[in-house]
Amino acid sequence: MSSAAITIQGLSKSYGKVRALDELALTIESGPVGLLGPNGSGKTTLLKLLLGLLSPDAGTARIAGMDPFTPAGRLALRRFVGYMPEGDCLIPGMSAVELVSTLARLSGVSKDDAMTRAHEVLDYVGLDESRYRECDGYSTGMKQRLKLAQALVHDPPILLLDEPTNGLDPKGRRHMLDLVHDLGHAQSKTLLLCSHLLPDVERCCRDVVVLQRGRVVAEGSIAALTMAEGHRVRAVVLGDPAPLCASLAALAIPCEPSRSIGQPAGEGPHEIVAVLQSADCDVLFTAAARAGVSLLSVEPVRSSLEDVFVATLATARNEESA
Amino acid sequence: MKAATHTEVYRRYTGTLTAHRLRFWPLGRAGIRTAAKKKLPLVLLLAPPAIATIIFAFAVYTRFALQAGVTPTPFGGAQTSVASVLGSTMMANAAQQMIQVRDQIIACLVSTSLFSLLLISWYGAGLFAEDRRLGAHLLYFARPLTRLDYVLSKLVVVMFFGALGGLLPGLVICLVATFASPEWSFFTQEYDVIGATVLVGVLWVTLISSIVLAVSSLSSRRTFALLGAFAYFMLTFGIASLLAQLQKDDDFMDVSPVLASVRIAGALLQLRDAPQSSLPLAILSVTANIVIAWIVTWTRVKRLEVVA
Repeated sequence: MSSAAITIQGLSKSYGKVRALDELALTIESGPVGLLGPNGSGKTTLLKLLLGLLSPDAGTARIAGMDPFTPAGRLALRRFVGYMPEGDCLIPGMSAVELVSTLARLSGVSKDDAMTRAHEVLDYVGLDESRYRECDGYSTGMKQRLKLAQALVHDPPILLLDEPTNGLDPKGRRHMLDLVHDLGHAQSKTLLLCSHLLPDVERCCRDVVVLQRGRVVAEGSIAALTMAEGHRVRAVVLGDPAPLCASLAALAIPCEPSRSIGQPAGEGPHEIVAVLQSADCDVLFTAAARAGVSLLSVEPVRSSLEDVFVATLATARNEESA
Repeated sequence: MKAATHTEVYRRYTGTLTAHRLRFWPLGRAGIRTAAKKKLPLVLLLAPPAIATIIFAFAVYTRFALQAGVTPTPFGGAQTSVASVLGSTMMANAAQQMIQVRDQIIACLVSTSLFSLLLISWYGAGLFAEDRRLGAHLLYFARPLTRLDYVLSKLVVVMFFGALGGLLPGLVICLVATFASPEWSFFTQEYDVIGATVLVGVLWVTLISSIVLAVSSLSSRRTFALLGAFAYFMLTFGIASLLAQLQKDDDFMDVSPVLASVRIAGALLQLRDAPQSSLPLAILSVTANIVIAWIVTWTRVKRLEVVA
């Protein structure tokens, strides 16, 4: 597989007058990628298009090098893709083992391996003895885990996960995120995690794509997107930070004392936030030496993904209205 | 590498993924297994055809046993008759005249047809409707499964239960007749009855299954599909009977697919008092119903697989 797991060009899809995707162009590399966007931004539509469950109005897509919009390509790519849908979609009357082993058989796992494989993935997602019960009576958390298990049963290199933490309690959510993180990082799966819960994406993914009204409004690595403008750094200073701030001010570097850490002012370590002119922190160390204070640590100040998300959507909205 | 919150590790699948030759079969089999889990409807719907089969099979066995000069017992054993040779011969002749295998099969099929219709409707109504309601089709179509495979998997389920009620009773009677007849004379001399029985059973099951699946594909809930299927059968039956009465023309009976298939069954099994409606019209009616039902099903399933 090439490094670009998913390539999309000019993809459009409308439901009547509602335009769900608007000439979407996107390249998704291997690895865990978060698909963010407010409700109705086209996330689920994009996943369904990638699986060939919807036909586009215009545009092309390649997933693992295959075309989801031709019958042959659709059948071929579904062996490489695991899909966890958003809705319940479980078959009443079936137990988890039966469901997963049946779906394994449909994916091409041999008869001998299907049951073994079903148990392996159910073990992995943590569905214990309840796997023998009919899934009608499952809790939301168990249903979500079962849906993840069925997506994994044929060990696909690409996973499309639609809102995997939907309706989960904090413990269940943490468990699900651990699994998704493990799949995306330790198991090296290409993972498209569709969610509007930003902390989930921040925790599990390396890259994000932000959609709004069917268009990409931001994409890139989370590290790059959350890097604040102006190289903001947070430094922990031992002693009084005032001379350091004064020294930095003389160099036209804005600096503000942030807070005292655990001790009264002037005695213990203090935090300061400075906006440097470049990524090079030498100027900070020089100023600290000149002010006669010691720096215990220096780290870049990042925006949260939520800040970036809100700012990006606001910018996009402003551009649209302009 | 372990996921942090529990002790199980992810294991890679080391085998190779190969498409099943009959890709519909795993899904069809799972469908049968799941449907058969609920025992009460299965018992209620299968018990009457089973009882009817036993009664008519015993009548057929009795006929051949008397013909062979033995007194039949209901437990399969045969005791030597104590009747005189004259009496025995008379009884055998009377049994041969009175109990015709063909008539027994027809009587059995007539008595079980309602239950086979109920079986097919009960197990077939939810097949597409529930998949759509729950979104289960997303799980299937996210895998290398074609629309044809999906439809065939549903057909397997409905035909299986239909065959239990609509085909198996006739075959059991034929089997009993074959083994009870002297030197398998039923098989060697009346094989056309076996062929006709199979044809009638297949025709009935195919017709009812096709209509029920089409209604299911149009419905959003199993209950609606069940009501819809019964409404269709009863409405066409009512209209056909009414038109035939009003117009004094039995050909109108063929408007009802059920009555049309009874007409064809009568012709195949050479029923003495078969319905008098037109046979070509009956064939046309049944064919049209099956074809239209499949067009509807195919179109609706296309929308499940890929939404335009």
